[in-house]
Amino acid sequence: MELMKGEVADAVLGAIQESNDDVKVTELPGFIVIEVPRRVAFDAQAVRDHLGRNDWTMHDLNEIMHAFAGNIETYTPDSFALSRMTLKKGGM
Amino acid sequence: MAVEPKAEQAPPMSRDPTGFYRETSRGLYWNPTYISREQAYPHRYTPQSSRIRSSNWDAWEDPFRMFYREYVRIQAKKEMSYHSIADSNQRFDVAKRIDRRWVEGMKLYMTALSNTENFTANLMLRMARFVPSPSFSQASLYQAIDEVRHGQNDVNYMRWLNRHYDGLDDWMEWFQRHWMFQTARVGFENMFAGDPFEMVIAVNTVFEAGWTNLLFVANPAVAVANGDIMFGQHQLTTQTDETRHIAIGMVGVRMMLEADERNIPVVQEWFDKWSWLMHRMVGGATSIFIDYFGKNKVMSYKEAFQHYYMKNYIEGLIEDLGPLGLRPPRFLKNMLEDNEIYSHALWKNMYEGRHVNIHKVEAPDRREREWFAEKYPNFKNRYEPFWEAAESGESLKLDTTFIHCKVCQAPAIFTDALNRPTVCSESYGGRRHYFCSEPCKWIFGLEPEKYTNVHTQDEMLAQGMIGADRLKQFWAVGDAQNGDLQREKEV
Repeated sequence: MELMKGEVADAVLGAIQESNDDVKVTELPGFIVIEVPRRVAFDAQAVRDHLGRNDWTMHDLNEIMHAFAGNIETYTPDSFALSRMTLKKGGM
Repeated sequence: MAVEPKAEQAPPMSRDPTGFYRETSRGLYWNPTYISREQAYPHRYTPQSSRIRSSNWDAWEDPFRMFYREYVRIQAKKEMSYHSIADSNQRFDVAKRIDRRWVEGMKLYMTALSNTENFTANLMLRMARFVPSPSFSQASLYQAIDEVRHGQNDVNYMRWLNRHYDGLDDWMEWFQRHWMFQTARVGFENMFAGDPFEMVIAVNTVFEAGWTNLLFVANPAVAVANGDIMFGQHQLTTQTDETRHIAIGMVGVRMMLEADERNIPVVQEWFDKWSWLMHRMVGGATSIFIDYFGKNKVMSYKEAFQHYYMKNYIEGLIEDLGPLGLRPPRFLKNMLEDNEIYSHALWKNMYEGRHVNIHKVEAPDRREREWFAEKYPNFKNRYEPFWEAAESGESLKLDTTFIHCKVCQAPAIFTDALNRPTVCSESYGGRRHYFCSEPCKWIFGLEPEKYTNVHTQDEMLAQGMIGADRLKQFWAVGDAQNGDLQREKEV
């Protein structure tokens, strides 16, 4: 996923690094690119801890996340998970 | 200081957000009982007339599951931070430090973008009404508001630049009539006149998921390298909205593929068609910005395409949806072949027409041409002689028009890997129609009636719908001298 640089991006990156392995970060003009193999997941509480603010929910991620690859598995005010698609058997 | 909770019990939304979202979005949707669905939707884009079948529209979920109140809160924050950067750019005169060639490009870019964003807002509202999935309708409404925001910020950006440089003012007129914008205008009108699910594939799955990263992420990197920080912020904040659109588009295409196996060939046909048309509408434009309008080079368009389109989009999409029957775009090979010459063919064409452009077209200098030759193996043979002639003072202006493609309206100026023109033709309804390439001819064959009454500018000229002596007025460029529009002088 790619995030617009700033203190929120730093906090999200901190939360991701705490709960995921093999996190790779690249800096580009104006934004950072975070790459995690197969699946990335983190909680809003961890981001709040890094930010030192308690009014941040996962919806606020939309303010700075301008690109992602994969499929959104979970997106609630408390948690976020992004992964490569796993197909359900039998269709809908 | 700890914050005291306001109520003892958490609001329903945070107790069970998914369940609460389902109740509130599905509860707004019902089946009419006094009248039939056809009467309630007296329009040709009814779910019944769609080529997509499903027995359970409820299966379509919006992964972001956002409520209106949350949506407004987040968008307000985005606007606050965008406009504080806009203020600071004005305060410190950043506009003066932007490379002049990039500014010229913005005349083209923002004219096209502001109009197409407004078009897309309309498209999203049509989807909200005619796609029979409650959560998609809700998400489409937010998407429409997003597009209005983008379009307004485009105009705001033009207003800012126009205070320092002339010629970013007649964007509505130019988009409707100027020859350079007809590919974009006709392309969006084509989407407008489609099945509602075709719109979803065209806009969400192909355009937003496949192309906006080239347009709004690769392009800003070039902008920043050429002094335009404002553009960087502008496009990135736009792209944060696009992530929502992309997510719901991906869920949508997956739902269509899974719901009924008769949908698979239909989805594939739209995917093939719009992948090619977006290559014409968006790819062509992006190629000249990355390769030419950015004097300080960051990457070539060919490299950007490999990274953002091939690696980040196509590979993941086919890995995910291949098992459900989706194949790579039918004309991917033609796209890759085009990319070897794309920006160069277009820039040469614009240079030859520089007396009827709204922006200035510079000849690339030697240093740039060496860079092109390194990035594009065909450049030296096919384009270097042209620029050497320009350098030695040849005028190289064209006073005639090209044949324009009946489908995409691009001039037929492209060549294949062996340098043969890709123009081709077909007879239909007693007339011969011309196309820029085989893919456009194939698209014509899908729905010929849709295109036969759309006139290209060369047809309008040949049939006397525009007089040859009135062309400059028709294009609203006045007595243009390579970007210097002298519109007060009536021609």
